[in-house]
Amino acid sequence: MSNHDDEIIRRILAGETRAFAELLELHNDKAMTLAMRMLKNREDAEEALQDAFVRVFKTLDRFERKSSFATWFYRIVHNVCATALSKRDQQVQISLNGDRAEPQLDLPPDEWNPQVELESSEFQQVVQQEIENLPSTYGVVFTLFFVQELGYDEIVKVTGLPLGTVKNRLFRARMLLREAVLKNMRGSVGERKSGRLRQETIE
Amino acid sequence: MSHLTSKQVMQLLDGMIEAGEQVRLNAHLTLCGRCRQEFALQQALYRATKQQSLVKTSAGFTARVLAQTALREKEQSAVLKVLTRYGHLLAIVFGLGILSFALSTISGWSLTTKKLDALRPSDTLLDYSARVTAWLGQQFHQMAQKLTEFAGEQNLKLFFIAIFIILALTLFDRLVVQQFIKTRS
Repeated sequence: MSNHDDEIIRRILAGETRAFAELLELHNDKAMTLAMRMLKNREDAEEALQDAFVRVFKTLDRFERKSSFATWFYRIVHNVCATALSKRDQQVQISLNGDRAEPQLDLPPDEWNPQVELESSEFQQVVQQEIENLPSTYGVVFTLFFVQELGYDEIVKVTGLPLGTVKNRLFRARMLLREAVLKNMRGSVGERKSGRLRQETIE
Repeated sequence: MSHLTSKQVMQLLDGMIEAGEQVRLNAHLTLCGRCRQEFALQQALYRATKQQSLVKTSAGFTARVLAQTALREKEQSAVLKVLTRYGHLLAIVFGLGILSFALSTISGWSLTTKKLDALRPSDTLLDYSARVTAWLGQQFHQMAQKLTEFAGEQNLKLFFIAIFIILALTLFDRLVVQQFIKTRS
């Protein structure tokens, strides 16, 4: 557990319930990002997160410190969101067959230089957009890995999924993102090419 | 060497490849333009992913959560707090109730032989509380006497059954009632 979390929790358990606001501020945005990746809807995500925080408050005295506070906390957020998701019954059905062969990859377009493109805000926007579009099944593991910066073992504890499934989902999430961004960038390169051609024709 | 797989490229970026293998893959990258291109793409995605912006909660979210936690604290102070703190005592009192009921049914013994006088108009609160205390003392004295007689009458079996009931109820409280409270909260 991080020292900061530890200190805040000690204060809350000592009766300083106002310290809970600090804990909220510390984990608010990361938890909201996770909830959004799962529920894909701002209202539902906030409602679930509110529920999760209330649960944390009520059960904080039973937190046994077997894992880090972050792992324990994100497990609660994950469970609340999973319940909300199942209630909504909108879970996207995706084949999770891990034995599938790696798909044949499309190579990046010749004219595309990722080092240059990364500096453009357009690339960042495209990546951000495509991350948000990831199906919730993959978005959860992806967010826990990149935003919460949890390791595989911690993701296993949070999601309750087997290690193999976690690794597989993370890989597929990154492949989905790669393909989506590439498709998007190929479109942009195509537009630029046709723009240049039009320019040359005019000249 | 054949081209690197996407998995290998990702593992290389995540630093999850053994040192020896890493040297071999890096050597391949310097020679193979296609894999270098793939690596550059994955690297760009990795960096962009790390820089992704977080989703903010709406204004007033923290206040709403804090208000709800304060409300929960109040709610819990009524029934749940009593059950959580004094559940085992309630179980023992209930068990004693069953014990006295069983004893009165079987051996014609009643704890209420001398009834408590009702509140008289002339009573002050102090007078009445003194009478209630005296009455309770008598009841306990009587109960202790009867229990001694009862044990003397070799009705120990029934007595132990009653003790067993108390223990069972206490266990029921610990294992069921308290767990139920935990689950609810």
